[in-house]
Amino acid sequence: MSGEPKRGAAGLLAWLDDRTGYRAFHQRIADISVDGGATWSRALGNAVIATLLVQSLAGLALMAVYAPSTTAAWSSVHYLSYTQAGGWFARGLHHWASHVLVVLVVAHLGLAIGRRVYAAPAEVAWWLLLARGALVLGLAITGHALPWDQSGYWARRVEVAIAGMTPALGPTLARWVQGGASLGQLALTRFYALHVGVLPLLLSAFTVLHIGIERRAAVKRRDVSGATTAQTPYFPAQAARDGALLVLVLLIAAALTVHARGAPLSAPADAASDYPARPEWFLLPLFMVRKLASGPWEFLFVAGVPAILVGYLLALPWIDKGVSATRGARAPVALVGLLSVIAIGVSLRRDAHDKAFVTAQSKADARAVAAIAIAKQGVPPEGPLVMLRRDAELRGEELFAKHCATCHILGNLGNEKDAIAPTLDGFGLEAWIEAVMHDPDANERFGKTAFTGLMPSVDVPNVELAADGPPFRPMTLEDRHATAVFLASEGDEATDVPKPSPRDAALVAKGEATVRERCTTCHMYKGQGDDSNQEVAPELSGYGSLAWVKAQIANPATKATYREHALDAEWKKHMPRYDHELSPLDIELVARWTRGHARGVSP
Amino acid sequence: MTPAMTPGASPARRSLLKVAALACGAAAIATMAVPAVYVLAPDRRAGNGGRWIRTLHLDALPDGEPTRVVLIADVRDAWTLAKDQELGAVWLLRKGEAVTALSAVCPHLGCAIDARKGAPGFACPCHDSDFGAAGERLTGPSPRGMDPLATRLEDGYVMVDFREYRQGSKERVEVG
Repeated sequence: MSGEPKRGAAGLLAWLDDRTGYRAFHQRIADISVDGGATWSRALGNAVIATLLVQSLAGLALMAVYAPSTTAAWSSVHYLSYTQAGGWFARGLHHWASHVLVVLVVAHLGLAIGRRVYAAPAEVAWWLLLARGALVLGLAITGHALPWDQSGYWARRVEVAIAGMTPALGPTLARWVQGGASLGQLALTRFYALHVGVLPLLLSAFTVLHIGIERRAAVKRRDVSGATTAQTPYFPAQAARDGALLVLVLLIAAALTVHARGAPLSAPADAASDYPARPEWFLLPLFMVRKLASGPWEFLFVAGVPAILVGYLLALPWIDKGVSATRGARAPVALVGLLSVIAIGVSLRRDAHDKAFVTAQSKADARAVAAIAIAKQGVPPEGPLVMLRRDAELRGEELFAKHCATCHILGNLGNEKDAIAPTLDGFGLEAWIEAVMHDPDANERFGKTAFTGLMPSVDVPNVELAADGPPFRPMTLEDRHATAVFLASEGDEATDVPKPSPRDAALVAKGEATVRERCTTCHMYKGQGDDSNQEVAPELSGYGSLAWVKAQIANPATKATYREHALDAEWKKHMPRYDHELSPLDIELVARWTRGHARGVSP
Repeated sequence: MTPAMTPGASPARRSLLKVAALACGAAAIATMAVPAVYVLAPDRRAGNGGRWIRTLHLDALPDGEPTRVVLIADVRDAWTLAKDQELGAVWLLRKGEAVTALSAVCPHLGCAIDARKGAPGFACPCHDSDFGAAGERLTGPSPRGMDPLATRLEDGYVMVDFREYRQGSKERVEVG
């Protein structure tokens, strides 16, 4: 080197170039000759590669948070989406770019077929292009499994079952894919290893090979034909087109991300649930093909149709050998492409009009929304399913809807037509109790139960009883109110949120005295009263408290609530016991939910 | 340009070196490849089927109306053994004192079978397989009827012999 050495940054870069030769390398890349001049179709192929690089970066960012375990995967994706700063955007971009990527790959393949790039001597390059497309689909499918949510889990479950239908090999194939007898932890780890390791490595290798072999084929083709094609350096004409297309792809992915506030996340994968499974949109054509056949033909269709298509594409260099650009050989591919687009549209439309599917889907969506909300308080180490099963709000409502709403009404659950048990809105509070005392046989109280007619009103004279009983003495409204306030206070829990408003101590005392004086002829109070021991009226101490409600749900015939003969055949329509059918935890949860929603406190 | 032969590099020695180089390469690859394939082998231990699992008390089952019950049992999955997990779902049908159980897993491709709305019988939401009130195959792609599971009563509780069957085949073959 001669002359004064440069100083500062320029000097440092000059030194670096001297030691590494990076400028020459950079220039070499910029000067790579582009065969046939800069084109948008080439930009499409390059945009696929560039998008894959962006996907690797976004994927690495996700790997910093994601945990590939059936108990942690969903929770870690939830954390990424709702807690980790910028996580929603990284995941959204990765998710939506993968959809755009599938579209790009299909468009690129279509364009390549249109331009007959497979013609000799580029057959091997063509195969590599097809293999790259298959690997991108493989990445999309394995990636969909990783959040271990309902949507990804059930789609994989059906796919593994289809693989299991392969003649002779099926069961073994399914076991190897899953890593065991069912779709679980080992399957998830496998999908993860494929998604972040095996498939990206293969795709990188195939991409490098493809570019090299394609360029070599182009040179060979020129040498044979002797024709000259325009050669332009990669930089800047082609680079600008590539850059513009990449930016477009990223803008679309970013717009979808912002629009969806990240990426979708369905409820945690649950093998015991009833989820309406559907494959990814780009597999919907196969989903529709499946409908065309059943029985032994089914596998032939589901595996045979794509196998024929892939075989046809692989053999295209020989099928379409014509020197002039004939269309005949490519027409079937175009037809399949068109039919696929139609099939996707038809499939989505059918689902949108299928009432049972829409109902099941909205139920699944509601569960996803609930799971996402609950998980914000943290997920237990046993995983999100255990979290959902222990949540009083979600599990309580589910249990009430299934077991209680057949007879009771509470909020928007249950209906007047079928209800044969008290309406529970306000159960245990003053107004509800005063209504019972005034008219116990109202339809929304005990009128439709087996006990109808057994409790007299405290303030309305009863004609039948008056005939042979002691003279009726109506309770004053003040006494009735005091009794209701006292009984409502019996249901108060110090742990209620919001805290129960303090009740007037004088009223409570007056109410208790009234209960002891007037109610214990039939009712029990703290185990006392009801001298004849023949009555069926319930225990009034703790009425409406959590312990009372729990005891009543578990078994109404223990004297903790109703009497020991409450389940006898003569009280046929009386409430059944649930300790035979629900776990203690479930009874606790449905009791908390019912009492909470009846009294307007948090369960 | 051919490299100059070093002294002593006779053709015999060259071919010996060639064989040695290839053998070393093959040994190195085998050292990695054989365990790699072994690591991919599926878990051979029995699956989660073939166990009597307690479900509801007979009194809790409505007569003549199918009831979907989630089976709770310990689940082994790879290295975890989780207590009281939701193993899967079954449909229980009670007629008097007799209870029959049908697996809720569709014999077609493994989706969760639902009770048909409005009419007795079952339907799969994925590929529209229809089953009769006793789980028999009616229409749709399912190759066989719903899989029956053995039941017995124990202390008044309905016990179900939970099993998993291969999907997509006409014959009922147990997996795991």
